[in-house]
Amino acid sequence: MSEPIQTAIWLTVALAGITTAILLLLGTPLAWWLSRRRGPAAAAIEAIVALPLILPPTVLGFYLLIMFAPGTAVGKFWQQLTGSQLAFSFSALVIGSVLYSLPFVVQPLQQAFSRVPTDLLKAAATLGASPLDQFRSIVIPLTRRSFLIAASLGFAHTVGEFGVVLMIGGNIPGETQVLSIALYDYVESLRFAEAHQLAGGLVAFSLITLYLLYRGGDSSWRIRS
Amino acid sequence: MRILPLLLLLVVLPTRGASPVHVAVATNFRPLLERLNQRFEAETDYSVVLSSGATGVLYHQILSGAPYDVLLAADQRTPTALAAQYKATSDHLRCYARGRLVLVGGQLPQLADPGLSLAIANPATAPYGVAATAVLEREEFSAGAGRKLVRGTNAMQAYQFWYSGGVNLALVPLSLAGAGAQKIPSHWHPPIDQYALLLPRGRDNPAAQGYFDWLARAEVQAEIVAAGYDPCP
Amino acid sequence: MRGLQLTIQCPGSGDFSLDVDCHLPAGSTTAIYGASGSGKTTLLECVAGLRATAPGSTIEFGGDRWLSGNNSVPTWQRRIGFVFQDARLFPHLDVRDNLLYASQRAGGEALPLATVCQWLALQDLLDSRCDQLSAGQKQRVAIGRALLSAPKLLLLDEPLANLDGAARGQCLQGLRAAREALNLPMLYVSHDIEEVSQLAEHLLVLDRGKLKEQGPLLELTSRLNSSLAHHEQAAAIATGTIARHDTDYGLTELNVENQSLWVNQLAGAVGDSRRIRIPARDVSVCRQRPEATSILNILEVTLAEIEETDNARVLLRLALGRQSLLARITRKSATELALQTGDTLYAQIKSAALLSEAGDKL
Repeated sequence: MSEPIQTAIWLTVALAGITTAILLLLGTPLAWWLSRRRGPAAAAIEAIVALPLILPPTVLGFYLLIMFAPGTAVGKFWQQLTGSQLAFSFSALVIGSVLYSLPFVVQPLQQAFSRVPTDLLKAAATLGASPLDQFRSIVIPLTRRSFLIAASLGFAHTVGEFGVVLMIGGNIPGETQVLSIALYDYVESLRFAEAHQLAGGLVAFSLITLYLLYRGGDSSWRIRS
Repeated sequence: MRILPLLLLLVVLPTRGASPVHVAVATNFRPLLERLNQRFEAETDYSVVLSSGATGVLYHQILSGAPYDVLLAADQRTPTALAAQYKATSDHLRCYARGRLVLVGGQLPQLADPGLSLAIANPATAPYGVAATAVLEREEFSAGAGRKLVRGTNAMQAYQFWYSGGVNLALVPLSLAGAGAQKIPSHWHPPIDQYALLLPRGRDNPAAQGYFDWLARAEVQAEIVAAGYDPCP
Repeated sequence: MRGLQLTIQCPGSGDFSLDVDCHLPAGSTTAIYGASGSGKTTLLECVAGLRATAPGSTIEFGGDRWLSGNNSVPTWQRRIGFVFQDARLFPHLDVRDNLLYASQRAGGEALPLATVCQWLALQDLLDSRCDQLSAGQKQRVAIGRALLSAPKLLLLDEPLANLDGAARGQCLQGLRAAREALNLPMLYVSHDIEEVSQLAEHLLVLDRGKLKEQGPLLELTSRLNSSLAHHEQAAAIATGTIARHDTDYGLTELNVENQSLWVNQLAGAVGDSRRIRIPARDVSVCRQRPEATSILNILEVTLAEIEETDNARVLLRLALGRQSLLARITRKSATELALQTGDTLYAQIKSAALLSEAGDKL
């Protein structure tokens, strides 16, 4: 495997890994909040979270492109904070991927959380468990599997990202030239040998991930009582 | 089921007399060509359907069977290679413009500044990208080699990156940038002779043949030069 | 200890609203009794902090302000234990871990696991998974778990409602043992008056969200004007000490106000105090002491009150020393016997029908 391909793979893995970690960190409290709330505010947030499922990735890419430019508030803030520009950087891809893969992490978690009976949490409260304690000692053990699913979906979805990266990445090897862009490049310049290597590898990875996910068995959690 | 004939009708109706000319054009030339096509449609009874992309992309599409009648590339190499494939004669292959590269967003010496980000078209697929790369490899700009270099999928995206404020500078076709841009001396890069090819499909289409010949007319060529291109050698 | 002071308003579904203002004595077991929908569970949940109350409500327990003004101490900081009607054991933990869950959050004051297991006979269940337990076993574990969190107040919401006779007995036994050892105040919700009679010292009667009556259980059960007395299962509760056991005949003699009451053999030593429930419908009266009758229990009483309950029947309160019995007889008999308050009568109590064993020590 040539170096550019290795770099692209490594970059993609890093992007997907960091994005998934951020999404688990941010998405878990969000999913929990959504699972326990009703009302207009919750519905609005749910709609926003679900947007990336429906909108073409280029829409997101378009708005991010405008937002990250060095001349805008966000771009300037970033420049001051880090000393380098946000547009066409790896960090820009991370931000884009977090938004793009958000529903793939939040929705499975939210569904699992909503299946945890409030009765059990009330019982835990009477035993002296604070809300955080309830989450750690009751909710997480009962929804362990969903964390795995959410992480896998978020990771795999980010690996497959193309439209957004095409618009905001700038195709910089070693920084924003992820797998899908490198593949596109190879195909368009008729370098089919490299294209096969990348594409074949991507298909294999996806198949293995899905197989492991499905093999893990029935993903629904049943109440035993 | 009644929909089907209706749909067929809709497909057939819009043609004005003969079938339209399907033209594939390199992105840098598109804005100008849109204006020229309006002239063509006014002067003749034919209509033109336009697709654009980087030259390399169009090449690939044509090889895969894309239904184009005429290719207006941004280089000479691609149409020549295609011509050899299709056994085209010199009647079907000719230069229609010579491209100029310009710098937008700053002055030429700033190409030596590694602190300024720059966008170019992807050299793997776009001739303007190849030209830009040649310019950047010049001795006087070697100091800028550490810059943030962003590659657009085609010349248009490179321009768009600069236009939307994402990069400080961009090396783009003159026809996209307009007045106020810094012209790059032509001898700094391989000549961007843009060639047109009448494809096999087009040879059977009188409208396409007419279009191909119309492009060579003096007044059309004059308009091309006025838009920022050099005349063909 | 200053007991439990409640001023609670809590709107429910439809027109229902809980509206209670009362003070419950310290250190006692209080039963909350009423029909379905009377607000008992709502009241309990409010005390626990599991339900939001209307503004202006206050709850104070033993000097701690749990709810006042805009401040509400959250459930997990009120040192309560709660036994739910449906046990609510954590499915991902086995029995031992369910119990330890409580111990770990008891702030260092937890009871030893072995002690609680002994009260509730949980030793053999410790390694079982929760879905392998019967309803009765689950409830015992739930009670044990609530006790292990070292509560200052134990709340129970119809804990025995889903259980059969044997299981109920076991749970009650465990509760009594715990209460005796810990002197733990309890708030016990039930719609079953027999269950209430076995544990409660104090009684709150709710009717459609309002407090209808409250007072010591013994007093309320013998008062004619209480709603309890008008209940079909109205009963007096008498206390006596065990005089002797007659193992031959399987009976125990109780000394109640210096008269003898024979009951089915009880556990306990001579001299132990016992509470006995005597349903009004099992008590009849005569003007003369009957002879040669199969009924063992004949007590000399004074007629204290007569009240007509409906067209056909009357309710009598019979004074037995400082205690009272209730008798329900037909109005016709009352007229024919020309009963008047102050009359000396003989109360006959069918001992075979007597006595769900209360067995509560005072």
